[in-house]
Amino acid sequence: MGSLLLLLNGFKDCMTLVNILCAIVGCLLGSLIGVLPGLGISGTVAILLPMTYGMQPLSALIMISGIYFGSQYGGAITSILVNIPGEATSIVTCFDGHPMAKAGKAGKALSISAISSFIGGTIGMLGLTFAASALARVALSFGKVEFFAIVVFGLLMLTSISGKNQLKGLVVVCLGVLLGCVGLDTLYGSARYTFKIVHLYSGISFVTFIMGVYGITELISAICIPEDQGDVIEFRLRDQLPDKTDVKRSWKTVLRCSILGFGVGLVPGAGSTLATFFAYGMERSLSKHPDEFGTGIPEGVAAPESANNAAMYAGLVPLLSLGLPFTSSMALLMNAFIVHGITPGPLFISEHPDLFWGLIASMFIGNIILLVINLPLVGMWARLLKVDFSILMPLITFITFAGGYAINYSVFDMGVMVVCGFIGFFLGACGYNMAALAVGLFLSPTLESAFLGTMTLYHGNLFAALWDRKVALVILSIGIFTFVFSSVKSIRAFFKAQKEKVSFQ
Amino acid sequence: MKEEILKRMRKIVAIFLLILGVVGLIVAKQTMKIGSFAKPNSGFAPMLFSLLLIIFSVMNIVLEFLQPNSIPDKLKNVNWIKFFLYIAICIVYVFLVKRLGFAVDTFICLAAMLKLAGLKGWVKPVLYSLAFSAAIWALFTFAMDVPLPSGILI
Repeated sequence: MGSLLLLLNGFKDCMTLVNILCAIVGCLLGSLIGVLPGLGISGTVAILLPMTYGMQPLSALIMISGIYFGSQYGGAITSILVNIPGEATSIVTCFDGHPMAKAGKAGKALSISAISSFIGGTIGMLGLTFAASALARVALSFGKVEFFAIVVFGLLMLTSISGKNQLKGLVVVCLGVLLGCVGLDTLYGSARYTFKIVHLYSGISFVTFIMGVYGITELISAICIPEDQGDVIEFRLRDQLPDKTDVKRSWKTVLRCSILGFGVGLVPGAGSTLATFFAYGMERSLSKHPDEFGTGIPEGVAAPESANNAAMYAGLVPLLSLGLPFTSSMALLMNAFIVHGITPGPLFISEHPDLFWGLIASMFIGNIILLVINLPLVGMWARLLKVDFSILMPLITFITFAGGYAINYSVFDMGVMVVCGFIGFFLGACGYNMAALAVGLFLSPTLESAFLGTMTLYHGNLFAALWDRKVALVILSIGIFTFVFSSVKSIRAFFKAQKEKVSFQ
Repeated sequence: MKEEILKRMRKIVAIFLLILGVVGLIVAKQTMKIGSFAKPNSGFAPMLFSLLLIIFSVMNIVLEFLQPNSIPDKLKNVNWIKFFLYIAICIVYVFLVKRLGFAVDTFICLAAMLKLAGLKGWVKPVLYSLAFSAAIWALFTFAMDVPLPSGILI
């Protein structure tokens, strides 16, 4: 009850005209910049942060929250409309969001994304309000072995949802993790796979990589495959909001995935990204029509969007109560707090309760304003698809190049994008799961650090480590069981198809 | 692209992935300290994941060779001339961006790509390209303060 009163106080502090204006400006700018390919949450917050210098701390926090949520929604817009995820957390949104857009339901997908994000965020906020300190203790009790088990579990789940191609999923996960090893090793400082190329010492930039394997690949398809050029998609604006059937199909998904997202998001590391994959996998296995996933259904958009927003709030638990940011966007958020004289940490809640609860309230306000201003704008975003493809696609190509350059101010990164796009086009065409490749790269440092830490701690005996840490053993066992189960199913299907071919001949 | 190559594309890609694994393993063994299970060093993870990549790739190749040759659906209708021209424009763009500067390079390559994408005539591609390259340059330079490469002009 005490927490609730403090939260209400936070709302009271936030509800001034200036603060609400800050939230609106933040959301609008965040969406506008976040929609540019390559500029995900981190890029957008970094670019717009200087705007908040000189503001009152609470107003600045509200604007930063607006920018944060706006850019997250901007990432969903590019995922849905042009199949280019700005961040790892938006990859799963492409699976069904883009097919929906291709079927003339772009507005619907965008509305579902905005509403699901809002509900996910609200549930996440409630979780954060009532369980912040207790949950932080649980999250902190996780050691290297649990981290290792969770990452392997996530990667196995990812390959399990690759449909018929689990083996191909495993191949590209390994390739992704291997690509993640390029650059200076963070533990020993030695160069790996750099071939004396200076630009490779800092590794392969994740955002550059996904802009290549998703963005350039998609643009190649749109320009070079006549059937993918798609006639200009016709739709009526009044059909672009979710109808009763969509709501009926998605509301349970949103609730389930928000709760799951909050739980997974507590795991330090790539919580939000894993949450989207877990949510999608869970909904697919619970669904009565799992084969429809990936073809453009509302549940496929609602699941990752609600999960990643709830997970984002959960990620604030270690950030605010312990001062530990576990993702790049959280690190940037913490930097933004410090710029305004707020240092998150164990004493933050007790010493600055007004700011802590003001921040939670401001995030909620940012979430509401985003929903209020973006639902009417859905038609405007969806209209982008009405622009002639022969103009839109070349234009997006060069905005993608500029966005790719803006991350590290590196022309080399532009080249990496082209190479990744070229290779990604053939890999994707041959049935390899690009999401598995991208997430393998993203989780590579976490996986390596957790694995090496476990091996060092238990003198090279992984079984002893798992036996000692039962939670890790359970997590890993579930992952392996799920993977083996889905692999056996697809192996049977493969041999059955072979037999049928032979008997047919 | 020749039909025979396209029919074998799945196998070619599977072998390419195996080669990446083998190269990864050789480079890890030759240039990195591997360590042991109890005391892993910087080359341990690259070596382990190269090995896993090789194992899974070999299994993948076996499965690919069990299946008859066929062109992957997505490659059936590709206009290969457009494909290679698109890649060529991108490569030329990256090579020239530091020499010509972002705005000029974008103007030239965007005009070429608009033509490639099917925009008729020359007036429209040139005008669109001029307007869009100036808009992208201004957006990144002034609104976002990104120092885009400047060459002979801007």
